[in-house]
Amino acid sequence: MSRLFTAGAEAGTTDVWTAIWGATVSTVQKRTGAYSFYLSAGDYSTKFLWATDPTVLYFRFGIRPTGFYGGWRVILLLENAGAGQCYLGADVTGTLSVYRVGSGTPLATAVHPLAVNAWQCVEWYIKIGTGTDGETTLKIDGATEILETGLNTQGSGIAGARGFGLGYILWGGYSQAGYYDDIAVNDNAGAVNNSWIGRGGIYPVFPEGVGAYTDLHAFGHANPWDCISEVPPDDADYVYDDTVDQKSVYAMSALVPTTGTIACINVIMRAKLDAAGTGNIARLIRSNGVDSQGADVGLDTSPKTIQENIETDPSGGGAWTIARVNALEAGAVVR
Amino acid sequence: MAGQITLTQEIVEAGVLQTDRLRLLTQEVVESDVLQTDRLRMLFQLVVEVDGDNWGFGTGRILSGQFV
Repeated sequence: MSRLFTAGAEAGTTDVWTAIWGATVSTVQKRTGAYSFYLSAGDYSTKFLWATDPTVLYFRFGIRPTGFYGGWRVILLLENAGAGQCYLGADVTGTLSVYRVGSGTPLATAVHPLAVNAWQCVEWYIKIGTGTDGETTLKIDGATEILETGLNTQGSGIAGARGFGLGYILWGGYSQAGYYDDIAVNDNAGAVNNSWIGRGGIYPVFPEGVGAYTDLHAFGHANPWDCISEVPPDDADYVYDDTVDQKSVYAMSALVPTTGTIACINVIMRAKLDAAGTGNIARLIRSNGVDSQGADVGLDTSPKTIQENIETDPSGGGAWTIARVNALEAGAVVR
Repeated sequence: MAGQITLTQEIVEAGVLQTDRLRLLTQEVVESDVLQTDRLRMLFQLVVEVDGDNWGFGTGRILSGQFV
């Protein structure tokens, strides 16, 4: 695995996080697309957990602070048992520092503070290690603000990071107040997405037409793609089916950008069962006539948000291109 | 005197057709093994987020909240 997390808030829901505490989505400010995540001043935060424990991580996110209260954990790394490992914190001036959890003394501090009420792109490299094995680099809008090696960045007795939080409260106090957008996390594994992410952004594409498979039935609209393209999600209309291996894919809208490179796509679905029992669903994409089906995901009677990063084009196995994304068909298989 | 006839028993055995009895069926239950996998899957939303760079605005540098 190399891309661990992708979130542009474009589904219009905080359900893409493993857990939230008071966080919301907002259309008031957005760096790209139509939505961002918003944390007001207070004990508001989010958490996302992945399935591995990498020690090297690259973050990229847009941040638009609305005020500086001090003691913020802009990003906190969490180890497998849930304890804090290290974090990127902001002081009352908006200056970012890297801290090891358990030590109030910064390991390294940025040269320039963040600005209030303006979008800035933060890129953070962190290597979690004890003794002098830890490293960190911080860039704001492409300018290097921190470059340090020989650090102890491991606050816990457990190595690696199982996930991260925004505005995460560790000892109480205030969380980050402001907007986050275009959040992406890589580790250093795999052949792609294994280093710096770049200062790009995250745009959505939505179902808007018929695709190669048309088994699933529409409820609420004549056209099935109109049942599943609303933002934020509305459970009043949907597509449905109960026969295993029946499937649909839909033609998707075109990307807003017309030029550029693509690092990853993230398929987000919201689904449930109509009644108690057992039933699975799997995501399905079709690119250039080649199908790619995801793993079966169990459902119950509560809506579940399912997401999966797909880092390469299943047709040919190379990087996604804007043309291939614009021609993409996405949908689901009953399993 | 003629001998007295004593009839001590006369039995007519009728062959009762037991198969003619009414069948009274008071209950018939067919228990089906419900296929749990037949539950409807309801898909409410599908969105694909695309993370890219150099989206037609040069290097992706941000100035005053906008790409330039």
